[in-house]
Amino acid sequence: MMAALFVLFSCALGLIYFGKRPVALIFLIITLGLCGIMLGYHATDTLKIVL
Amino acid sequence: MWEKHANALLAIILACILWGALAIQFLNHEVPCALCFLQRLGMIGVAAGALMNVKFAPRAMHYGFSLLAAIFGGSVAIRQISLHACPQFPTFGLPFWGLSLYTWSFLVFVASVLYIGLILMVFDHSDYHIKDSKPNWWGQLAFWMVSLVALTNIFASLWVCGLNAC
Repeated sequence: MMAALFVLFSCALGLIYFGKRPVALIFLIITLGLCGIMLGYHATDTLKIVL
Repeated sequence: MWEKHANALLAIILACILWGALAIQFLNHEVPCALCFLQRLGMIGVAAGALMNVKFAPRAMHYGFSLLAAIFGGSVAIRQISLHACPQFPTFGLPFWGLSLYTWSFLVFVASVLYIGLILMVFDHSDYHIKDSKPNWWGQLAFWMVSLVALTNIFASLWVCGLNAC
């Protein structure tokens, strides 16, 4: 799952390189959203350890 | 033109930091945690926004994406700092120049926000029109450095986490 986020960012970088701006922006926004979900998952997971 | 150079410089600096993190991972045999990988993703996000400015034209949307990625990465870093601030949790990994890597990471995200703010204050990007232009050697270097570090991190995260959420 973590690797998938790096794959998505790499795809977005490839799209930027080949000049596909709108698709790259959509890719970047979706990836950052998924990163936020992953942070939520890990933050609550580590919170359980602390509490 | 100078605004594009400044964005390429930001991307190159972030790529160098990410290469440094990978070097520490493999040379010191320090296995990164999930929050460490999320901070790396945040740095790649900041660099991606800067690379859009290099490739197309400086735009508020590109800067906005970089700022969002910096806020995301900073949140992850502050989460990890607060986690290890608890007395029963020792610091994660060996310190570098007296600070933990996640503390450095937080400082990098703060510096990125300040740098982008400075660029926005100094340059007037309203003259640019969005067009697909081939970056010069400086921009090309930024592209290759960030792309290669992102690709290397795919294998690094697969090695540590496999196909799980880590």
